[in-house]
Amino acid sequence: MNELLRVEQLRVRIETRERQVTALDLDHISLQKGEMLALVGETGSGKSLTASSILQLFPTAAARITGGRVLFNGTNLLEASPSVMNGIRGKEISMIFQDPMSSLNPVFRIGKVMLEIIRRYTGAGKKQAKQLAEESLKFVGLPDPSGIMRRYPHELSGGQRQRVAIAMAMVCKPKLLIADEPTTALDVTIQSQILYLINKLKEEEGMSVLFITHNLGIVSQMADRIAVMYAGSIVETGRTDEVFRFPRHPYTRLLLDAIPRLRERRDRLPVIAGTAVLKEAAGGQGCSFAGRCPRATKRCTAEKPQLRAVVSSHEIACFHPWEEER
Amino acid sequence: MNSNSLPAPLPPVIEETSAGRAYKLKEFILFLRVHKLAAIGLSIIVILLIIAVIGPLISPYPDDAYKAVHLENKLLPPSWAHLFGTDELGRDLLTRTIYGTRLSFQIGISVILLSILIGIPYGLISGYFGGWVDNVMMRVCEVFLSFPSMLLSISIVALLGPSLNNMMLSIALSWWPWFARLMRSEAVAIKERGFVEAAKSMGVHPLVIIFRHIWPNSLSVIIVQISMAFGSVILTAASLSFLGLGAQPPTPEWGLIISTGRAYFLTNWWYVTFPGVFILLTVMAFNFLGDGLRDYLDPKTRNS
Amino acid sequence: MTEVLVEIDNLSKYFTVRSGWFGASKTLHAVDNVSLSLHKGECFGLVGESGCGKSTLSRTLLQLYAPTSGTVRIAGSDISSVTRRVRRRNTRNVQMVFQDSYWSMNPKLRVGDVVGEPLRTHTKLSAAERNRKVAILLEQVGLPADFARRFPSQLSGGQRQRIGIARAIALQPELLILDEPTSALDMSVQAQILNLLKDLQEEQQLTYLFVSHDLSVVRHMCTRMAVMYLGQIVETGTTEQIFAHPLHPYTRMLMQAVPDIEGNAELTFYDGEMPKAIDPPVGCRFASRCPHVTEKCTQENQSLRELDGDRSVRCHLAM
Repeated sequence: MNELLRVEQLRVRIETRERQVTALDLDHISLQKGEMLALVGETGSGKSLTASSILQLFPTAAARITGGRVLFNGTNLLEASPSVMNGIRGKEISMIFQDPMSSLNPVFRIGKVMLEIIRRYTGAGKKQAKQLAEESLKFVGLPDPSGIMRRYPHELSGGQRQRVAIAMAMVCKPKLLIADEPTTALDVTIQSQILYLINKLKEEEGMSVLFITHNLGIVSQMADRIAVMYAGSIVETGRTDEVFRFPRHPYTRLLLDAIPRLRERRDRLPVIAGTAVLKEAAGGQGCSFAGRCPRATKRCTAEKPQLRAVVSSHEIACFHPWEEER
Repeated sequence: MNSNSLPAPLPPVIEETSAGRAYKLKEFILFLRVHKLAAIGLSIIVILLIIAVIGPLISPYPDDAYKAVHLENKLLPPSWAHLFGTDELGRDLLTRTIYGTRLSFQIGISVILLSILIGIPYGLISGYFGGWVDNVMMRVCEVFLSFPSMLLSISIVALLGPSLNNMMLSIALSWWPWFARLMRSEAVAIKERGFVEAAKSMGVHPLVIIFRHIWPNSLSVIIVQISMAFGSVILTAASLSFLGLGAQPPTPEWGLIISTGRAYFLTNWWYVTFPGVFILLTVMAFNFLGDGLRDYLDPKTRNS
Repeated sequence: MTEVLVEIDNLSKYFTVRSGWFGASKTLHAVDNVSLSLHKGECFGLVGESGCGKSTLSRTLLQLYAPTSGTVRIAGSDISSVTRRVRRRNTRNVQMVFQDSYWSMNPKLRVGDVVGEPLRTHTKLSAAERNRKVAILLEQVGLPADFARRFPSQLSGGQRQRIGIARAIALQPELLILDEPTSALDMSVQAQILNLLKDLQEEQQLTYLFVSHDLSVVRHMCTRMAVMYLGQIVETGTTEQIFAHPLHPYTRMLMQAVPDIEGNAELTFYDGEMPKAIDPPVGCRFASRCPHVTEKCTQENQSLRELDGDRSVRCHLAM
């Protein structure tokens, strides 16, 4: 069995005073060992929420998991005890964020934070921990690791901080790295460095990566497989090259068309009409994309399409997929 | 675009309609339900305010407020005829306390108004223009702040002569720098925001930027400060009157009543107790409300 | 078409920075001897990474900063002119669409007042006339007129950016500076905004200065472009030319770094980061990161050399 992570029927509701929404209604995603899966979607599609659900770390108390399973190496994390979860967070599953400052305490030197984390997770001695920290800083391409460890987070550039965050995430050699928009705040040349680094972790350390992004360009360069999310559900998933060559779900296809290309100039960009709406907890039948979909029929508004395989590993949740290549 | 944030639902459209106002009101009531102390504070303030406004109508012996003397009734303990008892001149203490409420609110409102009128424009100008203007203005402010406010008020009253008006002026003079400083720090923070830059790039006049863009965005912080200050101002006024530096007899001022009453404290407990309780309630109520408003108006602590 | 609207001539903007309380003051060369000309009715792309000086340059055009040296002429008149009247006309003529629409709108004002603000400042329209004009502007950017009564926080990012555009075109400016107008937006919304900008440009013969770090968007929008690095322009030319044959090593690095959904299967890796523009050293400013660096690069200042067909490059190796 090579499957490292499998998320099934995961439902998350967000309840505030004003409204209640089903923010996540995920059919299934799976991640093999040593594989990179890209979770793609726009704001509010639930891609970050999926990541938070896996670690059960929500940015707000209003979010609540109402059903489903998160299988990591065969154990259901949603039923795991808090102590088991704490053993998994950081050690088996690490996470890096868009803003690396969120994992770096601004009042401590880099070294202090790193050593503390290493010693907590590995039980290494002081000397050993320092060596481990220097090794991982060197791995992420930061010259002069001992110099970096003496600095404060604000003395580093955005790119350097993200490298430190990656170094911290990898010290315990986790099996799964969740990267939540790790390059969105960075410049393109720095972005390429960080992407290169994450790829290196996957190739050399055999780490599985769940890469969350809104940038389809990054996905096409990096990911083995892709899962496209819309309004809390997976609408299409498959091998990256396959999905890009032959997007079957109308949303995926429209999205790919809407992006300006580096090599080709078009006069106008095709657009998707309307805006995404999350389903209210009450009611909410049918496909969530139906209201914006050019191919929608009556059936789409009455019944929710389930994720089904069309060819081998290429799955879509749509009654009227495209049958011809792009 | 913060990827860590939850899908942001569009907030409902609040129009200037009765429905929109009702929505805002409903939200505020919801808030008061959770924030019990603020609700208590607000209720006390509302009750006191009503007492202050309709004071002359509900006072049992309106004549007793100032000059009346009924020596035959002197120092009576609380009874149905005199709920709070009477003082050494036979005046009804309930009437005097009610009139004291009226006076205290008048003092509070006048002092706060005066401090705001000086402090807010001062802080806005200092914060918006920055540079040497800011430097000079803030040093002046610090001169005032460097004295303990009570001491400053006492010296000013001593200089001008003790009277109600001079006391209010002296309290306002010790309070305005707090508003100026708060306003300045708000102005400094807000002027860095994009909409001020946008307005500048459109050639909008600095005064328009100050009053149309910076001032409304700092309103919530100022409101909290006003609520907090109100209680302190009333307390300071009572203290100064107690020391004989504010209201003069026979004005029914809380501090003054207590000052005269302290001679009878051991034998006639009611004399100082009721005005004292009113001072305590008022100061506490404004602090509770201020605390609550801070939570309500600060978007960071809301919705959590 | 080739009528020149904006002429930037040897423009520099330096800032003095002090390190610590007693540190010596240093000079930050945010914009260093930039010369550019923008033709009327074109979309000119200004590309570079954060800290390259593109925002300082656009803010100088907006008169938010006074230039240290050099001149900017818009439709023939100098923006640092001493007369108030001319300065005011120039403010009217240059408007900006900001990157962060939320940050750039007063949350306490209704959309109608946000869009109406430039009208209030520069025209003598009555409130009713202004409201009518706002309704027309909202329609032009594809929003219903009743949006005027909403608050910015009640709109989505894309809708808010449309409001930002409506505000910027309210005075029918000659030059519109678009400062990363879509980088905070979702992909599908980006396409809507880019289409809107193209339509408006066609209808109103606007001139755009499109400031962006996103090369594919610049490619889509612009006819001519300039690449900036550490306060200097390293390459200018038509978009077609530059994308077909990038000459400066930095331009090439940028293009390879952009993850495009077609092509670029290989991840390319370049080390190093852009240094700070404080007291820049002699020689080519890109030398520390350039893969083709030679001894000459670190010893001689590079000048912008003009090549055939309206093209220049700041590299002695480029042919």
